[in-house]
Amino acid sequence: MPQPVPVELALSSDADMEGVTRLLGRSMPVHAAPPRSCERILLDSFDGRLRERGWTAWRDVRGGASSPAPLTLECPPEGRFSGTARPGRRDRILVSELTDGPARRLLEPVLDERALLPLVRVRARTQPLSVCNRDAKTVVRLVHEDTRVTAGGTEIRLAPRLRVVPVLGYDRDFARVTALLTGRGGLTRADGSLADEVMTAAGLDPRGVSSEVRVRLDPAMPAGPAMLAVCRRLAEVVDANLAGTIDDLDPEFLHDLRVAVRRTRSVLKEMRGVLEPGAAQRSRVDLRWIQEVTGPTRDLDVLLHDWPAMTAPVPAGMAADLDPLEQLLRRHRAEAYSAMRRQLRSRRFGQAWEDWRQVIGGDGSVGGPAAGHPVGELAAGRILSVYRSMVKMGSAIDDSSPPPALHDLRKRGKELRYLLELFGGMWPAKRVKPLVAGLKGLQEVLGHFQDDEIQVAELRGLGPELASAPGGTDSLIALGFVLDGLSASQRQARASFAARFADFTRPSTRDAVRDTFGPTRRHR
Amino acid sequence: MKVAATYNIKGGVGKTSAAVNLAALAAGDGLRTLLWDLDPQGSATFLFRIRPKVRGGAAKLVRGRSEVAGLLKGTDIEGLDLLPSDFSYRHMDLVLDATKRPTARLTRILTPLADAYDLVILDCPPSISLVSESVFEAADALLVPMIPSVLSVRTFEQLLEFVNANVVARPEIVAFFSMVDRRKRLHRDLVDQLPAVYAGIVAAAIPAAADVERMGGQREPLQMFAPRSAAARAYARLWQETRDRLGL
Repeated sequence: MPQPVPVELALSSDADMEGVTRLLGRSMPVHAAPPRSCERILLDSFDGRLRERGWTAWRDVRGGASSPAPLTLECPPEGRFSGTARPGRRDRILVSELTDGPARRLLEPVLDERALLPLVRVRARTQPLSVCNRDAKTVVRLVHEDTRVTAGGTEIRLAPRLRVVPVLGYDRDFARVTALLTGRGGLTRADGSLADEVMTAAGLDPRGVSSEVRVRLDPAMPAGPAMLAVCRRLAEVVDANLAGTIDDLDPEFLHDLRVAVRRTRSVLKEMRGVLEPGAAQRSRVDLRWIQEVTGPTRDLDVLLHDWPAMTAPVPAGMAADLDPLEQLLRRHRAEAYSAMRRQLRSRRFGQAWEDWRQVIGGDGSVGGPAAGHPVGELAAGRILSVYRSMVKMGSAIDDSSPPPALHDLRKRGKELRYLLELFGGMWPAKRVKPLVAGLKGLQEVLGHFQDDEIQVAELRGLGPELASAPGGTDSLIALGFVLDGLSASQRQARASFAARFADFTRPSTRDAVRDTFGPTRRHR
Repeated sequence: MKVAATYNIKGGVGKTSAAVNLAALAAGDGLRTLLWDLDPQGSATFLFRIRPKVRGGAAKLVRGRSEVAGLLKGTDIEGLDLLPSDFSYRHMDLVLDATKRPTARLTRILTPLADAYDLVILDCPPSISLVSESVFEAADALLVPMIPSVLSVRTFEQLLEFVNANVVARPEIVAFFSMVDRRKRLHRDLVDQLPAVYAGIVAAAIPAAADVERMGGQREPLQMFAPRSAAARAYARLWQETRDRLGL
């Protein structure tokens, strides 16, 4: 049920409040309640998902790590909801840690596995006032907010605000009060939300940190500087996600870090000859190592994320039999994470990353033989070539092809996707889009097929260890249902392959690829 | 969304006081709470200083021709809204009787609000009627105030018999003593002995207190003007027990 949305007005000084009460008091009684003080922390996901939806979440600063954390979620126009997070880590709150209720239900689809992170601590003094009708009934609420942001050891006082809060069923009074305040009262609407102002005062970007890579490239630009610009942005994404990965704040940090590294490797491979060959080769080895040391944790993260869906085929009466298996998976994940953290904190990682920064730190004037070629020409050639190789590889796949054939095609598809994501902006979107859509459909079934393959192998590998665990035998029997489900899903993905591949290679797409990226018609 | 109804066949036993104070306590605990004043006398509506008027009256509401969300009023307590009383509620029995499956009507009216509220409290008129039967079907719990007297006990037994015999999805019965005067021996005896006889009687007992009567003058729940009074503490205890019973 949509709730009326409050209006926030800017006050130039505390003295304005006297004017507000005087102005409203002429026509309606205004009563002040005792002022309140509170300390709270602004929360959002690393990538600002709540802010993107116009939502704000606050955590009360009360109690220690062993106490439940009270939360307030403001989601206009749905309203304001309270929730409580189970005692746990103070550096993040996962949706699964919230008590069941509307706040959790609203946050679940938005955050999925993303954690809410404490961003900025504020101290607020609020003065509530009630605007009443003739029966002394509150028909509009006013809240004078005086907020101080604590950042970098100092306290910054924000401009005071007046929040005008409608009361359900008294819309006309709300409109009247707002009109009075903004008309005769001369108040103006606050510039942006309080949360945005808090973030800006703390020196943070209210939009959060994006892992998107959008580098504007001119097709005529030499490939050297163009490629370095792309790689530098990818390195920024790795840097931004490294601390969250090491601290294990949520699985998305590791995911975004790995995608950025994989994209970088793909660029190095596809844009061969742009960087100085020796440096490029060393970097490829280092980046592959980073992928390898982060892989096991990510595989287990995916498996645990898919766990509820994966275990759905298990009969309800046997569901509890899977507990030892889930515990085993969680233990393996903890071990994989410890090993990964060690590597990411190691001298080797530090050196490898520093070397890579050196490679991309220049201006691109010194590079390989292709550094001076126009980036548009080079990228188009690679897109065309990778597309054609995928057509060839996919055409050779039939029902008897072994799983690695589909896996290789998927890897090639990822390379094409990265080329399109990183360099596709140089061509008109309407030409690139059909190819991206066809590729996405194909990658979806290939990804599905491959994920099932990995998960079956991962779960089968746990068999001997599971058998010796208490309750392991029952767990193994229940695991049979899980493996059956995965095999059925994999068969389904395989059955969809032919149709998706036909879509990807349809004549109109082939023509579009040739016309857009072919040697004689580029950059039209 | 849970639904609790303050109900008793008898009038003047503290139903409205309980409904108003429990609703205020629920909202104070952060639960999004709606109080529906079903009594045409409109006492709960009066206590929140809201006009006892529902656009289209009982007829439109019951027939599903009024959008219930548009009839709600916010109270002076944040998180607590009211669906006001209307004098036309005196004919609600007749209106219900003219509909298909009359006892399911209240549930149907509340359904669109299921995501908007954690708790709905129905403040019911006295008597046993089609309105009461609709309440029994809609409610997860019946909160039954009971004056410690022999006749009250008899009425409580009648209610138990009726619910057991006629209601398929039986609400939990949460009975509590109301208007208790511990200077009276009969009150003391019944309050001490009856919980052993009837499982549904909770420990909280609301005293006969001037503060409860003052609610009419103050036009506010006790928590707003006498939060430390014995009666306010008794309602707080009753709320805790009710909350536990409702699993909120």
